[in-house]
Amino acid sequence: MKSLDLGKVLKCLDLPWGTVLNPGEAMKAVAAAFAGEALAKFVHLRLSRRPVSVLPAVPNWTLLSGEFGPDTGVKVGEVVDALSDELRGANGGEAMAFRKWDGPRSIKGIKLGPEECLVLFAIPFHDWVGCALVIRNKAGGERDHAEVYWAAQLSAMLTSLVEHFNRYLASDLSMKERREFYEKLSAVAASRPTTDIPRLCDIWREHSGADWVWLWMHNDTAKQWELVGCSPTGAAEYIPDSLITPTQNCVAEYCNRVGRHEFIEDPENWRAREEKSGEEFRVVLGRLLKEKGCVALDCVPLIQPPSNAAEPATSVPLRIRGAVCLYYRDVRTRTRQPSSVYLLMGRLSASMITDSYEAEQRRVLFSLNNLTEEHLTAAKSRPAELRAKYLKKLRLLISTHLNVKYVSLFWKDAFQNRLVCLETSGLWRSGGGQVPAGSISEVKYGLNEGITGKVFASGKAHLSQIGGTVGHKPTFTEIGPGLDETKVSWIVCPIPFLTGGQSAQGRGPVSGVIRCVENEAVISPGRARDFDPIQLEALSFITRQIAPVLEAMAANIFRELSVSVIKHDLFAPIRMIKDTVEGIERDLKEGRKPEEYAISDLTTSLFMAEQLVRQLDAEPTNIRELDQKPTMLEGDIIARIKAMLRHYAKHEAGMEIVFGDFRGFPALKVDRTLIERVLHNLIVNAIKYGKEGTEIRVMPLLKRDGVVVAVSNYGLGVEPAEVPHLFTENYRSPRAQQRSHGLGLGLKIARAAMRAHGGDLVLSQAKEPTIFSMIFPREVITNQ
Amino acid sequence: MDKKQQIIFVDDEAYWSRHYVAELQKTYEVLYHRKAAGGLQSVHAHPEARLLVLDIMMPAPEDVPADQTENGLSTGIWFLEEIRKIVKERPLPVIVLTNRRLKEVEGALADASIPKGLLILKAKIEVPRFFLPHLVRETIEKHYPPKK
Repeated sequence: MKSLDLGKVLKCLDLPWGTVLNPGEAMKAVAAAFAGEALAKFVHLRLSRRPVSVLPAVPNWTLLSGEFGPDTGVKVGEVVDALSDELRGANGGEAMAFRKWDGPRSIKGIKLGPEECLVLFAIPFHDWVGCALVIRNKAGGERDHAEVYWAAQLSAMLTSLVEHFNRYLASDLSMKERREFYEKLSAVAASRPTTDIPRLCDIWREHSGADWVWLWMHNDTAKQWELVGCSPTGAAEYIPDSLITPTQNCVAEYCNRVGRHEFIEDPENWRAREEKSGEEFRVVLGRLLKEKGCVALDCVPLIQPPSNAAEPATSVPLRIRGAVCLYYRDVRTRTRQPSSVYLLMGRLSASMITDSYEAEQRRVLFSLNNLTEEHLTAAKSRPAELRAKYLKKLRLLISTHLNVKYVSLFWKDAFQNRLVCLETSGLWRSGGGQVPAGSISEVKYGLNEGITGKVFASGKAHLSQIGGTVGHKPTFTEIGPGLDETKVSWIVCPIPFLTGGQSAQGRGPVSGVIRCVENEAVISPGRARDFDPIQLEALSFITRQIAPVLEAMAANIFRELSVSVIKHDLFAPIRMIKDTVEGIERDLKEGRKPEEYAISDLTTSLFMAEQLVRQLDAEPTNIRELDQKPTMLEGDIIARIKAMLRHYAKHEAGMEIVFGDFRGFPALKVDRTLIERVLHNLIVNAIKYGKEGTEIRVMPLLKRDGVVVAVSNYGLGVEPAEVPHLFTENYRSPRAQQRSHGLGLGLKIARAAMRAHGGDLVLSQAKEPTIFSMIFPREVITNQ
Repeated sequence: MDKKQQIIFVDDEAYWSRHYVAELQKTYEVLYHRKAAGGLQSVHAHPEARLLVLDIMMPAPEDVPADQTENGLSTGIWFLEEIRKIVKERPLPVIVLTNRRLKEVEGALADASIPKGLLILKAKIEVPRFFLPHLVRETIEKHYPPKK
């Protein structure tokens, strides 16, 4: 089947794309094209609207095939209207209704042949409802479901034409009034959206003649409708605090969903409906409006204009769901604007909000870019100081652009799953004093600890509304002792983890958290308010923008830390080598035999140094190839380990290493170097975290399905909470950090080496003694 | 011959520092401690000790909050702050031997406010084992000149 071509229609009208269309002309062209394409004998298009006819320029019936006039078929018109109403009533105007006509077989001289039928469509789009009446020549077209197909085509085409119609309708407004509305809007658009929505409401009031104007927006984080502006300023006081947020099914939601302007002239009926809904807010609202003498209500959705294709990649569209409610004390003051004009005004207002949001985004982006540039060019000299400066500027930037006073920034700890405060406008211990500026890094949140920890774990933003913090005792707050915590709204927004991909490394999708707190000093029309949807959007925009910079910064810090840890640790073996070589030289010079342990010191030092340097590999746990050779554990590995580590264990911590009997063991086909490293790592850990003077045991076990080498020690042990993180890259338990420094890579590398052999490395017992088992699969046992 | 002079040596890495200790033992009575807590006790218990050799990066004692020692990164600095008064009054000259970057340690040491004359900071890599006894002797003699 062919599809209807809008271009073709416009060509019929001989107008270039973008020209203002007269709806009557356009509908004729659409109907003609439709008739031709659908092989229909004739087509009627009817444009209707609710509640009053809006288009004086469009005749109710569009004559097409030369035979029909407005008087053609009263009955057909009735059916079409009934069908439209059914459509609106039954499914909120979202679906298409479709019916075969079984009325008279003849309409004004045109007779239906035995093979022909009459089909009615009702097609919703915005506030227009187009109804098509078609007689299809059944002999010429497909019989099955073809009508539905054509109806869909027609619907799509009409929707595209709406843009043009709206421009046409706009020309209906007097030039002066239009200019005024535009000028006022653009003046508002030049300033910030968060502060000037009340101004937008004022403009609406001037142009509609309404007594009160309320602007509702849907808050996607809190999942509810919120009053973000009103005119006159005091109007919001009509609504009690606890009832500021109606949920679903309010007029705003309805208008927004169906994309239609709603005029309610019968507030009694409307109130009755509200009372029936049982929603407290709506009941009270209805009652309040009655008390104030409200007799009529206009509700206009704020529908976003279609976005331009040429948007910059950095821009994140704001998803506005909003509506303007206009309440009248006297319906005579109401400017009788056609429905489409209200819609147009709604659209312009939405554009204004999105435009200023986008302008704001560009401003944020500009400031962020400057900041990043400044930070990156200077980062080489004194990084730590510069980082602190960057973070402070970043906080101030958030503060300025979001118009909030209190901001804190948290980032993931390098070695543990917890958040550490990087920067803050000031933090207070709940019920205690201020955290000194030098020790903000002591403010930490574990996974799921408090609301901040939950956001860190779940990656979902959290919004706490005014009065919503009752019963919640935060550990740290941005609010000083003088302020009432129940009168603040705060938002905890995750910073997405961009570069890591999935949670394979035990990280969540979140690498940090930004917390903003707004207090009651911030006044939107005459009252304290929660964060509005635009602020939430702006904050999540900022978090997405700064995520890569912060990640790069964290990676840099981690790299610096790695290098400094490794460098520190490398000095010990290097100095040992230096000292030993010097000692040997002295001995030889003075004719003495070098000391016996010199060779052992050298081998130990070299091996340790090598192990350390390997940790600096780009991907230390990625083992690419195995050099598997038949290996006798006793002769090829244990003997060397004994020579290197017995001596070390004794001098480092007065420990003994006891080896089981490896002599009867079969040769294993393994990568000798890798396995030696694993064993070395386990024994060195056993020494580092062991108790002075205890014994370390290395025991082999021949099993039916493989070989196990178990390394056990007495000492620090592994706590249950640490078990899940044991093999996590860069995880270091607080207790391990106390005992010794490292990168938290050793066990991870060791496990990767065992797994590369088809085996595994596991913790068999947590403490007394702690046992790690190297498991070799049966396949590596050779039959020699 | 006189009784050997006492010096206190605090370093967690016994294996790597044993050459130093062995060399020093030839001339001095070395009170060696692997743990900061033991070292601290020793400083208090031995007023006759003439010198302290101290490492910086060591595990912090269990009862000291991790943040005070930057998780062990600067346990030595914390140690010096604890004994600041003793160092000045006795005096107890200190040789700080570290593998950390000297510049970083210098900055942190300034905060511990130990009089300059009483503090020598050296990178371990620059102090061979045979040289340490000379350094120790020189430092002690500066504060406790030998009787003639």
